[in-house]
Amino acid sequence: MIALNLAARFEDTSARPFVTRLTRDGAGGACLAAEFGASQTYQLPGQSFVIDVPDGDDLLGDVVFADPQNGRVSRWIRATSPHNTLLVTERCDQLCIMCSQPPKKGHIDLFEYLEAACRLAPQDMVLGISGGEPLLFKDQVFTLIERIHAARPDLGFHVLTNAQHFTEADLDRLRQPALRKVLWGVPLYAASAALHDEIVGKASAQAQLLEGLAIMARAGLGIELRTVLLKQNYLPLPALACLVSARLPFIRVWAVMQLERAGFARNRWHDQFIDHSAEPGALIEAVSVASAAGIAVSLYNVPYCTVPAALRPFLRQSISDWKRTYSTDCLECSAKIVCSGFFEWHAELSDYATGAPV
Amino acid sequence: MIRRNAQSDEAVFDEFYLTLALKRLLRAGEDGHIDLRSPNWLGHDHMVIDHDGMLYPTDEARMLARTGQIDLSIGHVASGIDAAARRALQDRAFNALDPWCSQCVYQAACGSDPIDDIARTGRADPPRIDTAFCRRHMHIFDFATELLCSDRPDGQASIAKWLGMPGPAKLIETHHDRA
Repeated sequence: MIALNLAARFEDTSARPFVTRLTRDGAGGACLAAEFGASQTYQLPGQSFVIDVPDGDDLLGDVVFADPQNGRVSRWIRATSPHNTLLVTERCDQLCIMCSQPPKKGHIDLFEYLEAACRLAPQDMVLGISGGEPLLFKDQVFTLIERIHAARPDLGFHVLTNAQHFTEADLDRLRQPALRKVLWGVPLYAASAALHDEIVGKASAQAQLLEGLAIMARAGLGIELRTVLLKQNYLPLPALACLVSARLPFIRVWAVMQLERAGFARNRWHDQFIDHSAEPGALIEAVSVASAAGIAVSLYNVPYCTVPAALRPFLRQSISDWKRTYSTDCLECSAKIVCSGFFEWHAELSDYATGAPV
Repeated sequence: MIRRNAQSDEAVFDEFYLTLALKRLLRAGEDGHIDLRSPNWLGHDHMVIDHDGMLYPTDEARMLARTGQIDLSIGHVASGIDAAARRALQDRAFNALDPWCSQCVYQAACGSDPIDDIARTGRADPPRIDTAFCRRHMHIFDFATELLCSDRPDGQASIAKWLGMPGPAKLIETHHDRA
């Protein structure tokens, strides 16, 4: 796993936090001034700091959030990675039973720094925006994206949101190019409103979400609908496929994904993880129904050997590079190059009845 | 073809127009094929340029001019598009307001081909139900719907292959007595 938060020793430990890019020559950021073994010293006007670089890693080009008072450097945008996500808030108005990043009550407003980081991002990068629920701070998120669109039209955004905060009053703003070109990732877990609401821990969530999706459709937004597979929603998945086909044909892609063993799902794994390979019927039927209706379906976090050949064209290598790994059983497998692999914190091929090296 | 498709996974027989009809019945926005869509505005996103530089909305319109039946040209490469001539063609280029089509269960999936109507009947406004276009498509959509509603595994297997589905799935349930 690649470390995203690094300890650092600052020259001026009383300074305010700042955002900078780590560079070799100092052009537009902090300059690599000295290198002793794994220890790198960066300089910029009025400040310098020393980072111990993790083994085999390269920080040059990264956009970092530096916090002198806490002696930390956070790698917000790694130059070599296509998977960078900026966290807007840890606050959320849902409490999903399997949440991989359980919300917190507090909120630290970092928008000033987020904007500075986006401005320094490498050419043509797509940046994730996540939370918590980012649109609890809707105006600030919209403004951030609009300002970056004006300054850096080459950048793209992928925003994860529960879509329950869009209103008709947003339509004009959403229809402008800045927000139109965002890909919005929106979770929907079941066709049954009762089941969806139970999974996300919020009454009337599904009703509000479908309203939100309708507003997004009217604005012509790009939507990636996201469904996590759980024991709770697996067998009724074909009913969700019918709902998506009949009522949400405007989505760009339906991403059906295996559970990540993190956050709440860590200790609830045995109540929540469903081995789709042991009973693939519901998954095949759901993908069939949706693709018949012309819906583009992608399967995320689903290892190659756990699905029949007919489902393999739908697999995507979805796990971010910094948390992707393979099980010890995968050593001899020839399909790793096309396989999603596993999340670093839980890589057990034995979770799947059909799991076996190819 | 359906029997052959059920017997082997190696090669799939594809029936393009039947597959198009299935997609038109099942999918939103499946309107990239100009022989089957509505509205089917003529001379806007496609046209034919004849050897002499004349512009026509379709190849059939070009042939009608060649055989001396009617001149449906919409301009010339030298002078550009004749907007008035093109506008005059559009009145029947969709099925939405047609009294016959408005009673038809396949209206949303079907299309409109006024050039074909002119070629066969000499007029752009024959009763739709008498046109070759309507009769042909009524049969195709009936057959497609029968296939979709059928429980026959070989038919369901072909539908899955034609539509790029990972496996067969019953896409339409009938809730009435079809007899």
